[in-house]
Amino acid sequence: MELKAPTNFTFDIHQMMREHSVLLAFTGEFDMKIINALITSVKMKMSEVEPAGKVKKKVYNVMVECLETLFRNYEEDQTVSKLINSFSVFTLSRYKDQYSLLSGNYIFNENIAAKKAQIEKINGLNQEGKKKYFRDCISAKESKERNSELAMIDIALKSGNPLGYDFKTVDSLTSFFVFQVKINIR
Amino acid sequence: MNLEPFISVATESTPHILFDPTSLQFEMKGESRPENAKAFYDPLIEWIKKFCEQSLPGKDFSSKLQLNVHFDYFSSSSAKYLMNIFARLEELYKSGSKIEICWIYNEIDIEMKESGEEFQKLLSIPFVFKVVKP
Repeated sequence: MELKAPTNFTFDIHQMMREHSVLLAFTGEFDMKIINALITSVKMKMSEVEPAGKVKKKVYNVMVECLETLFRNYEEDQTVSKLINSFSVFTLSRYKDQYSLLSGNYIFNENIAAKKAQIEKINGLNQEGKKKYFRDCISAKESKERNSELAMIDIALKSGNPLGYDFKTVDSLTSFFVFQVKINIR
Repeated sequence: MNLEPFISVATESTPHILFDPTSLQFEMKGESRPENAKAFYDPLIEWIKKFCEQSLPGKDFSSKLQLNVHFDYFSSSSAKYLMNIFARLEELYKSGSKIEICWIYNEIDIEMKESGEEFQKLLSIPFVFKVVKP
């Protein structure tokens, strides 16, 4: 693949971020220092662009859980090379009447079916069903699966919208997992 | 009771915690999104185990033991440990001690109130909800 000239590449990124009304974008390796820096940055940004305290709080809550999930996914997949993991992505954008939080990270192809089933199960529940699922998860015995379910159900409860996802095949071993959460402004 | 108070100073990602067995001042406040929830909460859970051992059965505290819980945010990984803490206090409550959980939430944060209600549904220990202005 031929690389674009740096000036064109930078302009393309700028245009794309404008078109998608991106407030914040980060790609790299997620650790607690980075997460704290992103949280501080979003707190400042949100106080500039969002007058409604309730929405601000909701975006903040969902964003923290999404970032922590990215961090945990990374921790769990130590066997994926550090090089690949350093290309996780997070963006926050505001378009018309919704905030959109998107995260992306590499996932083993063998784990796709379970991840998909987990999200579909949550999307199939109404708000009361989600709350019951949350209660089941916090009172269940500690396990990696339960913790991952708990994070997903927490995000779904807080956002009040179905969770969006996609898996982009990278090679025979890995895919790129794109996860989207929408928050209504009104 | 020969148990020292449990104190944890708040950081940007961990809450202020004070559990004082003498004054019966029990409180958790701030953000709870520790890098490692197990490492953060295990010492507190160990402390509560000792507190319960020394208090059972049905210790009649001089006044009611009220745990004030006032989070701005707690991560899902913290939620499981909170449940563990509340469940241990519930054992004391079931044995006859006067205990309640005061769940304090910001008026703009309805999700925080609802989270408290979900814990309440799982426990028999009394919950009191208190709303505060931002």
